[in-house]
Formats: sequence, structure tokens, C-alpha cells
Amino acid sequence: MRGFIQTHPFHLVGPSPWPFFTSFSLMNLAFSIALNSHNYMNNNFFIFLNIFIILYVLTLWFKDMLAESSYLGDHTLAVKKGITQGFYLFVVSEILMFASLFWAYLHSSLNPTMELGMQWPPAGIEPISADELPLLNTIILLASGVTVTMGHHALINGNRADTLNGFMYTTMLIILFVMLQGLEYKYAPFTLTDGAYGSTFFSLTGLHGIHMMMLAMMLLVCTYRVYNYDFTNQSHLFGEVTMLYLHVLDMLWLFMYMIAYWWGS
Amino acid sequence: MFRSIVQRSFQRNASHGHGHVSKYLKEDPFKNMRNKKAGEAYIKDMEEKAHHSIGVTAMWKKITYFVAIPVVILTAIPVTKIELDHAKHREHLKHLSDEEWPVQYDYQNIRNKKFFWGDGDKTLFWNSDINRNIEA
Repeated sequence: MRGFIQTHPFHLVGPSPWPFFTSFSLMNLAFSIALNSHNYMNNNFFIFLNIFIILYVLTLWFKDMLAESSYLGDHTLAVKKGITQGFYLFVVSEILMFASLFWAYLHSSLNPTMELGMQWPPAGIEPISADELPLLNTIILLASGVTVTMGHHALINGNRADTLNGFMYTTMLIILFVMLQGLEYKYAPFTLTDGAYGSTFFSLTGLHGIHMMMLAMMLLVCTYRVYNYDFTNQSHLFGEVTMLYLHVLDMLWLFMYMIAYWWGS
Repeated sequence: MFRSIVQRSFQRNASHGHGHVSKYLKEDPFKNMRNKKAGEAYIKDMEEKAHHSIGVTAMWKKITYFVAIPVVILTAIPVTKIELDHAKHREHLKHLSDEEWPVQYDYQNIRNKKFFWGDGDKTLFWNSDINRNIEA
């Protein structure tokens, strides 16, 4: 049966509708947000529709990937290496995206303009203190780094109970973080519309917050996959990239905490 | 129609399209690709990694239960107290009239066009107790 045996370690993916769906729904989302926010279109139904389609397609695409990795055995060492490299590139592009927002923040804050009273935070803006809710959020993120490390090492030596605990604690801590950020936004004395301070603060922390929601979803899937015996002690690529993502977002938050909350208030 | 397409694809894939079966059909496809040494080294490496991680897990387990979780709780207590104080302050702000409200500078509450949600004036995380857009 030589004709049916694969003599290379790579995974030749089959035809899939998901890249097509993802591209179209992302383009539609961008268009409907832009057209709505500039009052060219008076219906935000399409924003919600496209967010729903994106989440729906992501679910089905990831379902395919879970089948390929856990049930079809397509994730060989070479494939995992390729996916890991792809994820590294993705993370680098994310860091650069945050770098541009840090640049915007520092550009506005290091030399505040005349219009802002040449001070930062600008006159009349009551900033959020660094030693209150943001401190708790920082501690929660540092703790999530600890719990996920426990889960990772327990996974490598096949310690199911500690792996499950580690992933569950981490998921709960990240969900707690997102909820506390929601409270912080709800009780923030300034808003998105309060000049350069509001724009730069909310674009930095908001982009991070959206990433944290994505991370919470990834961790939920990871926890389920540990529970479902999908991960083995040698093959748990999704767990590894989720941990990498968590650490990168932790680091970005630490910079955000130091610059936007501590120094900037 | 589909039946003939399927048959044709099967013939093409299984016999290189020429109606004959490959002479390599029964050969070991991996005969030049086996490397016993590399395989053993890989298994040894994995076993060492698993063995090493037992001690590491125990250490991070201690850090989780004796440092991470207690520190989160210990930070949460004073932060909760401070936030409850802020809630009292917000209660006070709520009852201020527009005249008593602090001066709004030009760069605060910028409205160039209506938002496409709600009444078009309130931001997404608007809190009427502490956020006020006073039209001068």
C-alpha cells in the first residue's frame, strides 16, 4: 500500500471554507464599523452579525484543527514546529501593534501640548490610581503566570489533577481580570472622548482587554481539552501557544501598568 | 457521472494514471528514513524532561497555593475597602448640580458627531453618576 503512505512529515491541508468565511466576515466587520461610526450607514446590526459570524467560524475552524491534531494525528513534530513558528510571528506582530499604541501614549504624555495645559494627566482629568484596582489586576496576572506554569509542568509528567487545577485557576484568574477591567471602565471618571488622555488610555487598555477575552476563550478550550484527555505529555501544542500568549499579554500589561497607570497618573 | 469521476481519481491516484500499479507498491516506504539512534535519543530526552518536571511541578504547586493565591486575596481586601470608599464619593458626585460640577475643559467630552449607539451622546462605558457632558 505504498501509494497511500505519506513519506514526508508535513500536513497537506484539505479544502476548507473557513479562510474564505473569515476573510469576508472580517472585511464586512471593518466596513460596517467604519461606515457606522462615520454615519454613512445607520444600522449596527451588521456589526453584531459579523462578530457572530467570526466567532461561529472560529469555533468550526478550531473544531477542525482539534480533529486534525487529536483524532487524525496530523500534528507531527514538523507540523508543530511550523505552527509554533507561525504563532511566534503572530505574537511579534501583536507586540509591534502594542508598540505603536505605547508610542502614541508616550508621544502625547512626554510632551503634553499647550491645549492640555502642558501637564499629564491633563488638567481636569482625574486618573485611576495605580495602587488600587490596577494593582489587584497586576497581581492577578502575575498569579496566572504562576498557576499556568504549575499546569504546564504537571502536564509534562502526566499529573492530571494538578494540570486540571492549573488550567482552571488560570482560566478563572483571567476571567476575573476581564471582569475587574470592566468595573474599572464602568467607574472610570474620564471617558474615551476626553482628549488625548482618554484616547490613548482606552486604546491601550482596550486592545489589551480584547486580547484578554480571546485568551480566556483559549484557556477555556485548553481546560476542556485537558479534561477530555486531548493533551498528552508530549503533544499539547495548543496548550503551549496559549501559555506563550498569556505570558506575552502579562508582559504587555506590566508595561501598561508601569507607564499608563503608575507613571502616567 | 460522479461514479466515473471517483473511479477515474482512484485510478489516477493508485496507479499514476497509466492503469498499472507502482512497482514500489510492496516496498518499505521508510527504509532509508529510519534512524534508531535519533529515535532513542528523542525518547530519552522526553523521559528526562518528564522526570525533571516532577520536582518543578511540586515547586510551582507550592508557589501557587502559598504565594500566588494568598497574595491575590491579601491584595483584594484593601482594594475592596478603597473601592467601597470610592463608591461613597460617587454617591456624593451623583447629587451635585450641573453648576457645582467641576469645570469642563475644551478637550473633555469632545463630540464631533453622534455615536452610532444609544442616544448618540454617551460613550460605551458611560456612568451617569460620575460622567457628565454639560452643554455650555
